Amino acid sequence: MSEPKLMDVANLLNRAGSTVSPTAILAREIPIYEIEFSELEFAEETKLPSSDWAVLALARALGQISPNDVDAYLGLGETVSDGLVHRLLGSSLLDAPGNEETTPKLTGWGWLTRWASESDAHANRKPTQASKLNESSAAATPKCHLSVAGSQALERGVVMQRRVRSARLLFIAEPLLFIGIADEKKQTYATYQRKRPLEPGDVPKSLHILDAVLALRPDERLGACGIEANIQGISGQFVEIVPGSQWEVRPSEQRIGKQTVQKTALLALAALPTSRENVLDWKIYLGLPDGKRPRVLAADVSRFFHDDLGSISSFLGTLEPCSMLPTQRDLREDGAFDIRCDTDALRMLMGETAEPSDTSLPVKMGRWHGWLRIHAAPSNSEAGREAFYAFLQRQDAKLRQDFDRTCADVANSLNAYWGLKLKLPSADEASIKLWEHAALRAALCRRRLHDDLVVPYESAEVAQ
Amino acid sequence: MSETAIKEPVIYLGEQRVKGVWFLPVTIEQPTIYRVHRTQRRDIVHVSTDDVTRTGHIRDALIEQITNAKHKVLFCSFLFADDRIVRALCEAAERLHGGVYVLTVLDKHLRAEVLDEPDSDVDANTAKLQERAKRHDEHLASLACAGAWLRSVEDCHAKFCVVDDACAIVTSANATQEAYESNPEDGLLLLDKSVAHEFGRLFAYVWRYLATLESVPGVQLDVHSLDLCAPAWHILSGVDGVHPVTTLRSDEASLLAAAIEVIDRAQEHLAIASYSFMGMEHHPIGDALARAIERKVRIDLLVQPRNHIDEQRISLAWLLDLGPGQVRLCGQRRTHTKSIVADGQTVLLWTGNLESRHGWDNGIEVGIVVEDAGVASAVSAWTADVMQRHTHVALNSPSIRELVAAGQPLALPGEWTLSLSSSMQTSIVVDVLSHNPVELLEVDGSQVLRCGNELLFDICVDEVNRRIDVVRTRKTNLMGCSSKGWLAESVVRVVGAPVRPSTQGKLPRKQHPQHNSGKTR
Repeated sequence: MSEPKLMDVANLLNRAGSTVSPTAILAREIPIYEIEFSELEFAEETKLPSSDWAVLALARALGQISPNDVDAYLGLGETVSDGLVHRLLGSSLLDAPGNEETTPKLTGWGWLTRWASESDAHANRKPTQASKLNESSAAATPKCHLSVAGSQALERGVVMQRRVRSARLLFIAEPLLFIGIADEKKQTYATYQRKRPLEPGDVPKSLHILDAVLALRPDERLGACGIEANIQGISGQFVEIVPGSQWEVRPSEQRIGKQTVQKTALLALAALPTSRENVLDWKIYLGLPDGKRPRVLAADVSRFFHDDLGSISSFLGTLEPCSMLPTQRDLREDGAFDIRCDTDALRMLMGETAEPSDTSLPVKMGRWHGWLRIHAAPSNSEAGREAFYAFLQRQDAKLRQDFDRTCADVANSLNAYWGLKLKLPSADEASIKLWEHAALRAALCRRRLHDDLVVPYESAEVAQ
Repeated sequence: MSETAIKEPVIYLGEQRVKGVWFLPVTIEQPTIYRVHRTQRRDIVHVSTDDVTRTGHIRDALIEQITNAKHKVLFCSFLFADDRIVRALCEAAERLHGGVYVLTVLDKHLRAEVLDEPDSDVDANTAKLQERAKRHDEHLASLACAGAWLRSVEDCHAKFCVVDDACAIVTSANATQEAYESNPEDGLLLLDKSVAHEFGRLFAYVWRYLATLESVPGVQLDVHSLDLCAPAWHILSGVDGVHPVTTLRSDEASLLAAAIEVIDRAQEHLAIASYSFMGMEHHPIGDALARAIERKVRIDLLVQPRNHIDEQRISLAWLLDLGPGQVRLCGQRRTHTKSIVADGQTVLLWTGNLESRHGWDNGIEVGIVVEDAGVASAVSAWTADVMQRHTHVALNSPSIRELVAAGQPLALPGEWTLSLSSSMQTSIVVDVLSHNPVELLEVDGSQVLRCGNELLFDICVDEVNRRIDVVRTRKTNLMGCSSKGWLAESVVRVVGAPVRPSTQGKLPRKQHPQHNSGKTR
């Protein structure tokens, strides 16, 4: 994976709506996998057939029905009546408590029976004024009553139907997170060009538990892998992976030029300052390729690290050592670390903006690339002078307009940013020092133009 | 139809005369001594190019002043093709941290026709001029990077330099190696502060208000347009017999007035040097020269011998005709010097030429008038030395026989039949040939007959049959041609194209009878 760029991370945070400059950022590129499932179960609503509706309505009216009642009151014939009742029993729209043969299966529609409220297992026959169409010789068992699902189907006029589909879903493995479905169009035409799936040994460990994760309740599943009741891009509600069905893992790839590379997502952890001493508040951002909207993940940062990153001191302690690493004491109220620098260090930490501002100190922590927000200031007057000249060089347009004033403005803004009152070079000194930069000579020559070509001849013009 | 055979006209070539002054190269080796001429003054020094030993005294004087500059250098030259002067300016800019201001030709203002080539026969498109233009651009880039601030005024022909408003150099020399080493050029180094200040003021005004292109100091040359608004100009002033003068477009014409005044002052002798002399017969300066001739003033005039410029030949002939015996005319093939000295007492040295259309009421030129015998004598003596080293002598309206007798090559002697193409009218051709000198030229490998300024023929010469066939008339100019000689001993029988036979049985057109003698001169 390539090293993430600070600019990309900053863009990710901006697009995700972050408005606060973080104290620290950790980021890494994580690979995206495409998992092809052969059988995923979905529940889709379909219109309740009229025959089903009639039987369910009869069950509601009578309280308890059998195939005999269906045939007698609806005149559908023994065979049809028997088949309807058994089918509706199998779909759990009717219940037959106490009848072992008709106990609803816990697979398939199991969640509907497991988590729905208990149906009335002992519904009694209700009196009715409806008259029988005929005397039926159909079976008087099983005796069924309307289930909760059946009642709902009757109310809404729709019934949930089970559909099993194959699908190609995109996941990241660390953490395990569903990020979307693979492009349907590419799925259609890529059937015969699929790469071999990863060998089991190459599949990331976090993907090994997919069967169990996908079988969780929607709320638990959401926290485990990011899939809730629906999978965007596939119609119907996701029920579960069909137990025992096959799935294959492949790297999700893209062509860049002549090369095919694995797609990656950018995972960024941003530490925000809090009012509590020595405490950092982490937010997790996920940047996805192909222009997808970035996400803010509601996950605990401890999922990513063994160490405690919640405190500033422990966080700084986990970073790989570097010469300018600040300490907890250096943290300012605005969330930046205050670093006093000599000339060379200040040159590195000045950034490239026209005005002085906080910059970033690159750090590393294992596979993570990071940056600390730094408020760099000179540790001595020489460093301050060099910083002054460096910032002056960024103001060519303003220098050309008014050299002396620009020198004063830059000096003031630097001292204000640093919180110091350093004596910085005058405009005259700056005009000598900056001459070595050919790009600034226009400004320097413009400064002296008046003295060279105007002042000497003004009196002669007036005299004449 | 007449039974008498119609005779074809025969023309005897040789007595026809070239219009105006024609310069011929000298055949006798001229003295090649170079002398320095002192002015006997410390505040005005005459400097000149030693074209004999190729020593750049003008350049040396300029570099010395530039190297000693303590505050600023103002330099005006529309070309920069000399490494040493550019290096001096660059070093000054680096040392002074700016303060070097340059008026030169930038970008689109640099056109082939403004590349002032002393060699009269060289086409503006030769590799030499292109090389010079390339060097000019490279030098400007060096100047910009060193911190010089460049601006361009399209019609500024002046050549002068001001250092610290304490010294000024006015010279005929552009900042090119040829000018500093090979051409007779001169100038005056002026060490009077008030005079230098005036030239500085003029430079500042032109630079600040009249420039239309600019390249500020920077990493590279970066030319962009300017749109400046000029306030009123206050004319130059002089002091103690030293007067800066200028042509500043329509704002000041003190240069013209000075030239006329200096000429009018002469009672005995005028020493005049100019690169060119054109249109003076219709110009106030020409009027002043005419007045001088009336006063019996002797005039020594040094110019470049540019035979291909008709206007110069006519103008010089006009001057010679005004005062036969009073005007001595010399040609020096590389001279570029420009001055007028009256009686060895008063001198005008300036940057323009004696051309009626340029530099007197338009454009920008500078000059200096010095009313001092020492200075005037130095300049006059310099002009005399260059005239001694003349490379050409002048003949006024010579016949082509006289040209050949003086050493010009003879072409196509003997009898020839000149066969015209069908589109030509024989009578017109006969008339032109009879009254104009005829010259044989070679242009791009083709042979051309030039008949004065009237006709140009592309021809094909058949030496065996003594026949000259006219292929076509030519209209394009003849830059880049070389002369193969004059038809000074030729007898040409002109034959028109045969009449086409009528296919309709019509009678042929009537032929006009030829002259009885068939001879014209």
